[in-house]
This record gives sequence, C-alpha cells and structure tokens, in this order.
Amino acid sequence: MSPSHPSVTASYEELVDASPEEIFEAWTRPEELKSWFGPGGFQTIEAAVRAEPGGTYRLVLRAPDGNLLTITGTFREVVRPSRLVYTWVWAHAPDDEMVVTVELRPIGPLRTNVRVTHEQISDGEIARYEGGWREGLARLGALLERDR
Amino acid sequence: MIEYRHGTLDRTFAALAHPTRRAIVRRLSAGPLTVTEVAAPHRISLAAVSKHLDVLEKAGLVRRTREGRIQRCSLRAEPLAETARWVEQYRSFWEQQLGALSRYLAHRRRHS
Repeated sequence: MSPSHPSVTASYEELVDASPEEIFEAWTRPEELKSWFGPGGFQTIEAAVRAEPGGTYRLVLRAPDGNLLTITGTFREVVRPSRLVYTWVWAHAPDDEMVVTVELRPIGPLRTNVRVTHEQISDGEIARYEGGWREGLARLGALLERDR
Repeated sequence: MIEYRHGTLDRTFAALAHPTRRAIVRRLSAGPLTVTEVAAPHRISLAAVSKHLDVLEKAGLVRRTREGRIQRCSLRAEPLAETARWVEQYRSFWEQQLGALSRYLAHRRRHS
C-alpha cells in the first residue's frame, strides 16, 4: 500500500512511567498482554504472539456481556524496543484491515512517550484512487460536525 | 464495541480522495451554493464540477435540489460524522489502553 492511498487515522499519545524496553515487552509477551490489554470491562483471555516481521498474533477478548471477540494480525515491523507496526483485523469483520503503529521514545529514566496510531486502510474501491490524500479527513469531519 | 458501516466509510473516503472534491465540501460547509457558485473558484469546466458533484452525491455527502433553472447544492454531514466517530472510538480505545498499561507497569514495579 502506498502512503498516497486514502486512509483515516486515529492517534493517541501518552507519557508512561516505564522504560521503552518494559513497554515493548508488555506489548509483545502473551502473559503480559493478558494482564493489561482490553478496554474497560473487556478481558484478554487468550493471547498468542510471535513478534517478528511476518509473525502473527491472535487475541481473544471477553466482553462484559460474555461475548468473545477475536483480533488477529501480522507484524510488519518489529524494532526492539522502539517501534511496532502490525495489522489488526476483527474476526467478525475480516475484510476490514487496519494497521497499528506503536512508537516508544525515551524521554528520561523510566519515562517513555508512547504514541499509537490506528489507521483504517482498505482495498478495492478506495485503492483505485491515487494521490492527494494528505489532509486530515478526521479534522475535516470534526470541523464539519462542529459547524453544523 | 466498534461499530460502523464499512460501505459508507469506503464511499466517503473515495469521494474525498480528490483535492477538488475536498475543496467543494469545505466551501459547502459554510452553506448551500448554486452549481455555478461551486464551480467559480475552480479552473475547470462546469461539466467537470458536475462530475465531482455526482461522486459526492453518490457518497451521500452532497444533496442537489433544483429550483427552476437553478441547481442548489448543500452538504449532508452524516457520512463525515460517522468518520469522526470512528476516529473518536479508536482514540478513546487507545487512551483507555495506555491507562491500563501504565497501571499494570506501576503495579508490577511495586510488587517486584
């Protein structure tokens, strides 16, 4: 996929009191992932991770209502301890591939800037459109929403 | 947890993947315009602008209404709102996740 393909991106950045190494391990070791991964009320009950370029992962999350949701993907970049790029596909929406980029930047002893970028990518119809997609669709959407 | 209609997003992205169409959407966000007014700042023919409007209309971003000989274009913001919602959902997801990661690492340090 070339960067000129349209995409929409959600990103979030936070300072975490830990070293990049600790965070990298927590992000790539199954037992550690099960200890923290899963949004409010969701619990990661299964984790299989092979963190190497081309390696795959599979996470099973239990929702508060008991439903199980599965996330799978493939690692595209694994640069210990500073960078991870992996695809993200919900098992219930297999045609909808997303890409997550994790960037870890040390800013002091035991303090790391963590930046996560979650990108919606798509093939088919969208991929045929080339060029010019550098403006933030998200910002445009938010602006239009605000103007209503 | 994460719900949205994939088809709508696809069409929205595709429709907005052109600088002229993004410029049209931006101008229409200030209020409805006639087709001639939409075309005015662009160095392209009325027919070309009309084609861009077709794409935006099919994506549900623009509505065209005819009043006599005048065609008026207005913005429909629903598909864009859906895109903004997608972004907000994943942003909020990662906000929660990084909070949970921080708590986990702090807890582990205290107990190591």
